[in-house]
Amino acid sequence: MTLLLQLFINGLVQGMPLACLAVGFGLVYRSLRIFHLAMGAQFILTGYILYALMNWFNMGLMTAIPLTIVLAVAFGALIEKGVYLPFFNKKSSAGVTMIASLGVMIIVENVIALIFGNNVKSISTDLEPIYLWHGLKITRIQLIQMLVCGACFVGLGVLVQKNKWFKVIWAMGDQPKLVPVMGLPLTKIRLAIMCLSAFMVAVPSVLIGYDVGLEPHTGMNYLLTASVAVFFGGLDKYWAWGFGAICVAIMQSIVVWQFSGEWISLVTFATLVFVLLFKPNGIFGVRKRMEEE
Amino acid sequence: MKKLIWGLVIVAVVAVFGGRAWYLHKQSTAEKNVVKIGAILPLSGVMSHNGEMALNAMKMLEDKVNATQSVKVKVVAEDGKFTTKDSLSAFRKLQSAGIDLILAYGDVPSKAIVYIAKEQNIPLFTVSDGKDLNAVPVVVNLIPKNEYMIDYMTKFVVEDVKPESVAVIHQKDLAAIEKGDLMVKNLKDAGITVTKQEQFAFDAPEVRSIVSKALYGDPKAVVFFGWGPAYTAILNTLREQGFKGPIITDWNISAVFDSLAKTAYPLYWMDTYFDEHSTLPEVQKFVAEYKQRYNMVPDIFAMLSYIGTQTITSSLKTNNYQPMTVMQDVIKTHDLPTVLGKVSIGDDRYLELPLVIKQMQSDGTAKIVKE
Repeated sequence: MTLLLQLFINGLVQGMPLACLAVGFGLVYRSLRIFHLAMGAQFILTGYILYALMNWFNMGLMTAIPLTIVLAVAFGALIEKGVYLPFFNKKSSAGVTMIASLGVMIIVENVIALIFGNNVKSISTDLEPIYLWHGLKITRIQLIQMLVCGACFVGLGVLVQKNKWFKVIWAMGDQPKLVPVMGLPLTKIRLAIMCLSAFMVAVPSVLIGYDVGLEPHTGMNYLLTASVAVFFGGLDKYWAWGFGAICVAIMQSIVVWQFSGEWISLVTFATLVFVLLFKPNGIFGVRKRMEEE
Repeated sequence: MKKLIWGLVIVAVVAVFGGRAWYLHKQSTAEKNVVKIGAILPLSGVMSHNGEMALNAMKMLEDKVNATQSVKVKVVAEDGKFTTKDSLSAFRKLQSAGIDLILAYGDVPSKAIVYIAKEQNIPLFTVSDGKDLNAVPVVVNLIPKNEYMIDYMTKFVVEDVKPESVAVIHQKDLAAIEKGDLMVKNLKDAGITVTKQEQFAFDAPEVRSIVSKALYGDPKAVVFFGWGPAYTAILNTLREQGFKGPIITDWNISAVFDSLAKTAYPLYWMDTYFDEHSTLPEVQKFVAEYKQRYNMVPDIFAMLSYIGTQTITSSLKTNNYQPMTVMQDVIKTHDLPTVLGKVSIGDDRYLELPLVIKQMQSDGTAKIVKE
């Protein structure tokens, strides 16, 4: 029973960074209608920026983290200005933009490999302090991941519900074509969405990179898991993304209880397919009228 | 005037084409005396670090051989990207480049091309330990047999570590699964309880859950095979989760050595005499030369590729070679002096080289504890 509880807690902790990543993916997918594959590139690049600042410029962790996040957000803005917006202005199809996004991912991945090499880079090699509670173990970095990512997820969720500008961002996902009609600055809102998404990706990226190390080819796995969380929970409800993320992370952790770790991906994607068969809009998905689609 | 111009044009065309034909003829005559080793390496993608290390080492040896041996060699490399499709395409490119034999890095590219190599009667030297590869007669494995390495590790666990129980954790790739299964069988045969056998993916985000489960049966030692970020994370997480017993792993540790937490608790691995900080003069010389040429520190995979290629080049005694006779000569390699001591190719067409067990010291260096 202790093992099951431990696995549950591990999953819960893992769920918080995943919730942030799900928001990073979901915001772009819902509002800009782009399957944001470049998010995988943002995820890995952020970790490497932190590594470079600390190792090449000898910055302390506390100075390097905020600067890393600022640079990561700037990179998000660059993707919008340099790739997504030109495609949008040319009225390119979603498929074409997705291919461009994949291109960004591949380019960044290879440039990182070229500069930093393909071997594993560690930001910290110190052992993390561990906290024990009734036989259950949790490390300091796990706690930090849970609290920081949890705060970011909840904070943005509250803003989306209460703040006018964040409401606009969310509303754009409901009716993207109405934004220019209502006289709102579409280009600026698109840019804000990309920056917000980059921020939500940068925070877990920094913490995961610090925890398990960096490798240029890990972005796609996190991106896919985040997209599964969004579709699992339901695309049209912000809190459902977090629910999806926590469910997926707990499921990935619990699978290990009775099965080997090799079945984790199978169980994750099989569950997604199963859920979507019966609830095509996700667990909390809203069924839209035909004219709303 | 017109005739003169036309005459000059014809002379120029004849001169260009004639010159080119003469150059090609000269080049092909020169190439007849060069043994072309086609190398299929992962030069991009997840495994490209290993591919780059291997290619550098092969080029280093190529220069050395060409400066000292009468039979010259040329390494022609193609990127197999560690995938079946790209390895096949790399094989075809190498074939059209007229290579005499193939050296493939890893089990995926080797398995992709092994049957075409057999069909075309091209010797395949593989830096891989797959048993099914070895069953094909054109294959020579330039790496010790898994059984040989795992037997050596088991002997160390049983005789020196002497744990009551062991958990075995390994990556879910073919080589690591084979090693894990062999280790479990060996340990059980030796009367040691195996509490758990767990698998993980190279970028597994759920490492903590795998470690929690592996430690649940309270094993006294952990045997561990893998590579990549999850490999590092699991090794560090085992310590974070409070496991203070011995951890025993293999030479893949060299690729992640700098990213490991250095603790006073015992961490052992099976390795060769190769070590970046080795005091052996031959190894020091190799490391210094590699660093000077490529501005990077060689790892065990660079070393294995260097020695593997050396077994091939040292068999090239005369210009009158045929690819399959080269292979027959390589198989006869016995006590060839190399950087890591004397190596041989066994009757089973596997490389045999001296193995050791190393232990990580709290200052982050490696110490040989068993030879």
